[in-house]
Amino acid sequence: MQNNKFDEADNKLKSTIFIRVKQLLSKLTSSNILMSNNKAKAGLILFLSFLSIGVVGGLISPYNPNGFLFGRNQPPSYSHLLGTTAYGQDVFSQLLSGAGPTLFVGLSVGLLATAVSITVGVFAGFSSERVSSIINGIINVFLVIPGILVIMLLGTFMLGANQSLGYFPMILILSVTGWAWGARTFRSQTLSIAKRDFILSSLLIGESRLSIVFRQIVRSIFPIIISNFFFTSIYGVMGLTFVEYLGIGNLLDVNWGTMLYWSINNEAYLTGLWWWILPPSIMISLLMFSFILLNFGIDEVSNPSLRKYSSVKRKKSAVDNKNA
Amino acid sequence: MELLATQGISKIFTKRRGMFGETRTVALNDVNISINSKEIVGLVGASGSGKSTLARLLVFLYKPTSGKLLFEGNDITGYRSRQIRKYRQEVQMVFQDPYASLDPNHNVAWHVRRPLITSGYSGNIEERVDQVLEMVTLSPPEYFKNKYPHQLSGGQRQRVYLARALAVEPKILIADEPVSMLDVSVRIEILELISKLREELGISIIYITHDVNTVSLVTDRVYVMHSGMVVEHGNTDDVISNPTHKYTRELIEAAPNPYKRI
Ligand SMILES: Nc1ncnc2c1ncn2[C@@H]1O[C@H](COP(=O)(O)OP(=O)(O)OP(=O)(O)O)[C@@H](O)[C@H]1O
Ligand SMILES: [Mg+2]
Repeated sequence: MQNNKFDEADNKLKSTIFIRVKQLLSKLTSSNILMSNNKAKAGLILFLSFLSIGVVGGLISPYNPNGFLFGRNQPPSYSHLLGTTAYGQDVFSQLLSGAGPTLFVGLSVGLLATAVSITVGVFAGFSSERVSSIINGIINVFLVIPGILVIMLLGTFMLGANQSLGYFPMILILSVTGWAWGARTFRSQTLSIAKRDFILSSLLIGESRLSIVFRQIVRSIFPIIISNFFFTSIYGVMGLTFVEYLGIGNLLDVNWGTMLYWSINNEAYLTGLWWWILPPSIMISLLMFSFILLNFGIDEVSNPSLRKYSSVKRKKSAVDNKNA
Repeated sequence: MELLATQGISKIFTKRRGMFGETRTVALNDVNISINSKEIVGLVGASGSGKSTLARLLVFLYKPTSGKLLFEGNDITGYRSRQIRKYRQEVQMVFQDPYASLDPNHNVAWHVRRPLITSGYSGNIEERVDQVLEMVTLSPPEYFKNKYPHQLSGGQRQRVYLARALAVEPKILIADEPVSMLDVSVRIEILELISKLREELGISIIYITHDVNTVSLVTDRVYVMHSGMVVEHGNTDDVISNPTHKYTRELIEAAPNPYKRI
C-alpha cells in the first residue's frame, strides 16, 4: 500500500520533470530554428563579432586612436596592421575603438525609434477609427520629412553657433526622423490582427486593452518588430556615417563615420592610402550586411510558407540519403 | 424565466462609397427573439441571413441601429464599457472557427486562466483550470495545459474554447456555428458535449447554424431567419415537422437527410 503511494509520488515527480525537460527542449529547438536557417546564422555570427569588437575594441586597441604618434602615411606593417593616417594615427586602433560608438549610435537609434513606433503604431491600430486616422496623418507627416535634410540643416545651424552634434543629439534626431516607417507597418499589422477572432475573444472575456496590446498584439507582431529594429539600426549607422561625413558631428570623436570623413577629406583615394579609407568602408558595409542577413533569416523563420519549404527540402535530402 | 430578449432589433451597416455615396446593408430588420433560462434555442438561416450579426449584437460587438436589448428584464441597450464588461461575464460566445479563435502564441492553460483572472476569481485558479478542462472532457488536464493551439485538433480546440468561455460561469452561451468548421466525425461529439453542459451547468444556449439536422438534434425552440428577419419560430419539432413558411420548407428540403443512405 505504502509502496504504491511512493510509486505514485515518484511517477508524479517523474512526469513533472518530464514536462519541464520537454519544455526546455522545445524552447531550445525553437531557438534552434534561428540556427537552422543559414542566413540567420551567418547574420547572427557576424553581428555578435561586431558586438564583441564594439565592447572590447577600445580596450584592446594597441595605441591611442587619436594620438599623432607615428610617421605619416605608412603602409600596413607588423607594428601598424593597417598602416597610419596622414596625421600619423594608427588606423587599426581607430578601427577597433571606433566600433563601439558606431554600434552604439546605430543600435540606440534602432531601439529608441522602434520603441516609439511600437507605441504609436499599435496604439493607432487598436483605437477608434477617428483616433487611428488622426495618428495616421501624423505618421504620414513624419514619413515625408526627409531626415537627412533635417540633420544637415540642424548641423549647419549648430556649426554656425560653433557647436557640433554629439552622439546623444544625433541619436535623438535620427530617432525622431526614423520612427514613422515602422509605425506605419505596426499600425497596419495591428489593424488586421485586431479584427481576428482571438482578439475579439479577449475583449469578450474581459481583457483590458493594455493587456491585449502587450500580451497578444505585440507578441503576434514580434518578428516584424525585430526586423524593424534591424532596419532602423541600419538607418542609424547610415545616419551617423552621413553626419560625420558631412563634418557636422564632433570630428574629434573616433568612429567609422569620422574615419571616413578624415580619409576622404585628405583625398586618401587619390593618394593611394587604401589602408585608411577601405577598412571603415568595409566594416560599415559588413555591419549593415549582418543586419540584412538577420532580417532575411528572421523573415524566413517567421514566415510559415517558407519554413514549410525548408522542411520539404529536408525530407527530400533524407530520402536522398536513404537512396544513397 | 425570460433571461435575454431583443425587442425590434435592427442593424444597418453603412459603408461610405466615394465622396457622397453610401451603401446600406440591412443585416437585421425588426428582430424579436427571447431565451429562457436552461433553454437551448436554435437560430437557423442561410448564409447572409444575419445570424452572426445578431449574435454579435447580443455581446455588444456591434451596436443596434434601433431596438432594445433586455437582460433579466432590464433594458441594457445603452450599456457602456464597465457595464458591458460585467454583462459579458453572464453572456459568452463561441466562435465558428476554432483555428482563429485561439491565440497561436499562448497555450491552453493561458486561454482558460485569463478569464478567471480578469473576472477576479477568488478560488485556486490552477485547480479551476483543471476542473474546467475536465468538464469539456479534455483529460487529463496536465496533458493539454501546456499544448499550443497548433498542436491540437479542431475538435480539441473547440473544447478549449468552450472551457475558456465557460470558466467564468456565464448564464448564456452563444454558439455561432460551433461545429461547421469541424470534421463531420467530431461534430456530434461537440454537440453532445454542449447538450451535456446545458444539463450539468444549467446554462442557456443560443445555437446558431444553417444545418437543420443539427438544430433538431439539440434545440428546444428554433427561430428561422431569412434576409435579416425572423420568418418563423416555435418548438423545434413542430417547426421541422410542420413548417408554415415557404422559406422554412425550402431550408428543410435543401438539407441533406442523414438517414437517407441507411
Ligand atoms: N461588419 C459588416 N459590415 C458590413 N456588412 C456586414 C457586416 N457584417 C455583416 N454584414 C452583412 O450583413 C448581412 C448578414 O451577415 P451575417 O454575417 O450576420 O450572416 P450569417 O447569417 O451569419 O451568414 P453565415 O451563415 O454566412 O455566417 C450580410 O449581407 C453581410 O454582408
Ligand atoms: Mg455567420
